[in-house]
Amino acid sequence: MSQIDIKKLAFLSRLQFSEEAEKAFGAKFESVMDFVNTISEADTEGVPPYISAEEGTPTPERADAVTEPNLRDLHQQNAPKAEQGFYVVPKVVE
Amino acid sequence: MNLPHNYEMVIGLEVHAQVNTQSKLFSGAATAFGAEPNTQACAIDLAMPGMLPVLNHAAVDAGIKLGLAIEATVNPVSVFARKNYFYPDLPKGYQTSQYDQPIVEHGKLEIEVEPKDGEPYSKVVNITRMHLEEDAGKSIHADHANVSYVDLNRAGVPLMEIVSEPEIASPEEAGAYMKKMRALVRFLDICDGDMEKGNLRCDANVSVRKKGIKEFGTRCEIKNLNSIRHVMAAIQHEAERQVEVLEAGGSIDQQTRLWDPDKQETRTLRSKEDAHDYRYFPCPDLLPLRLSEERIAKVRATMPKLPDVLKTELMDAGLPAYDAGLISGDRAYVAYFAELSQGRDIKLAANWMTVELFGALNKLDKGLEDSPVSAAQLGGLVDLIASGKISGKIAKQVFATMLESGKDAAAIVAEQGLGQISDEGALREIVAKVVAAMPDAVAKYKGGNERVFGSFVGAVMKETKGQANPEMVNRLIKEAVASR
Repeated sequence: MSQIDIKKLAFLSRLQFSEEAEKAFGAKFESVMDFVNTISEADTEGVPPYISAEEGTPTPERADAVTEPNLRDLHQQNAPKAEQGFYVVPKVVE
Repeated sequence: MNLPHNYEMVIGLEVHAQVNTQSKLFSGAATAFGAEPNTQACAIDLAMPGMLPVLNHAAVDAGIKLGLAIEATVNPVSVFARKNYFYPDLPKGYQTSQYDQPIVEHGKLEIEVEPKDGEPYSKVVNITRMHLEEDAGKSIHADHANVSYVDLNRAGVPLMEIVSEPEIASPEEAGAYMKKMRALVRFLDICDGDMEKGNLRCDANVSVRKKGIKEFGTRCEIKNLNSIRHVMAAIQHEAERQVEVLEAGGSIDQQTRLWDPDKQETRTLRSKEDAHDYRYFPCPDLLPLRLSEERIAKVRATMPKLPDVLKTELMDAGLPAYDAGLISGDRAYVAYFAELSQGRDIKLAANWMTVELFGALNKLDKGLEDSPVSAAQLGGLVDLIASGKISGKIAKQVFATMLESGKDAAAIVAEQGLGQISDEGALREIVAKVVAAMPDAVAKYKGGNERVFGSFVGAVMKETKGQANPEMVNRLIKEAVASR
């Protein structure tokens, strides 16, 4: 079983764990991975990657036309904070 | 400062070209530039629960067009993938892009390079791939408060990401590549190509190595290059920075750097240690994109003849390379010139278009689409010159009036009585009078001083207010002088 870097996974998922939670989650996650890894026992030599259940069916396409009206006021009722038309979020600077 | 002679640059460019569709890549929200914040972000763009993407047909066609234009492989099957990262301007938590199966691969672009020192040359730059993806929104960071403002109008706008091979060797080549790519996407009418509005953007991967070494040096990616000038300056500065580090015995860290045009320097954005881990996987909401040969052929049939082909044709028809390149580089120019040159002397037509018309439009700060003189009108003027009704000099005067008034050349010539005097009888009388009044000059001319011939011509032109047919004047003067 490979070492799972819980700290990195937590960072990528934007999750915070306490020390104990991290240990407990680590153990659970290892068992999940063991279960999922069963799949690698299957011989997939020469089998093309599986992308979708609808083999051969093309993805649907739509004509290039504006069909969605401006519903900003409605959508912004879902936002914790909006000002002058903008969504307001905690400052994030890269 | 130039790079030391024992070093060379290795540059690869990633160009993001916004497809000029009316609606987004996966939703029917509008893409108009400059709209009020969040008025063009619908439930799909906002990643509301249960929303599903549906692919924009026109964006796919644009991708096919570019693929064909760069002589690339347009893949019969390509796959949309999720590129996962967290950022407030990315509501879904992933960008829908293409990863290991892009729509287009293995293309090329021939560029014309004008180096600072040395002869111009052309070069083929191979294009690794082009894929379709959606743009993210825009965050504005407040100076005063601890908040960011998010506008999601741009979220979901279709982009073509065009990735070159690391075959570009100088800032001049990078500039030429950008210019050629911009002209091409505009010509195909798939992208507006306006770098200031952000609908054409560029990231540059830059590394340096000592000449003769095959291995690439460690590269840095420079972001935020929103003009061709910036692309060129940033590459030059970044290469110099890397050489300085290496010469001081240091090593280059693989980094993403940001170009600061005010300070003319690049600075660290993030290093390899905290580089994103995007965890790409095929998007379960979108089936693979399948393109039939029929569809690709149909798109090909709608494509205009490409600039490189047109340029060769115009040069074969007798135009100099510069004029041919200028006219073939823009679709509006091509259409204007086709109408203008139809049934006319191609060189004369090209000259009037590229010198007189473009010169005048430049002064008026207007584009060809706003030209006060239509192709048919300029053609009318060219006809008057070709048939000898007006001289080139008078034509310039008529053209100036056309620009101001929008009237036809023939009407202006008739109104102002500018028609060239080609009535041989009338002109012969004037010439005879002029020559008779200049006995000294006649004597000198007969004595072998051919330079005085010009004074006869000048006098006739003065007498006819510049309207005499110059060829006829020359012949009649010779006859008149000989007979004395």
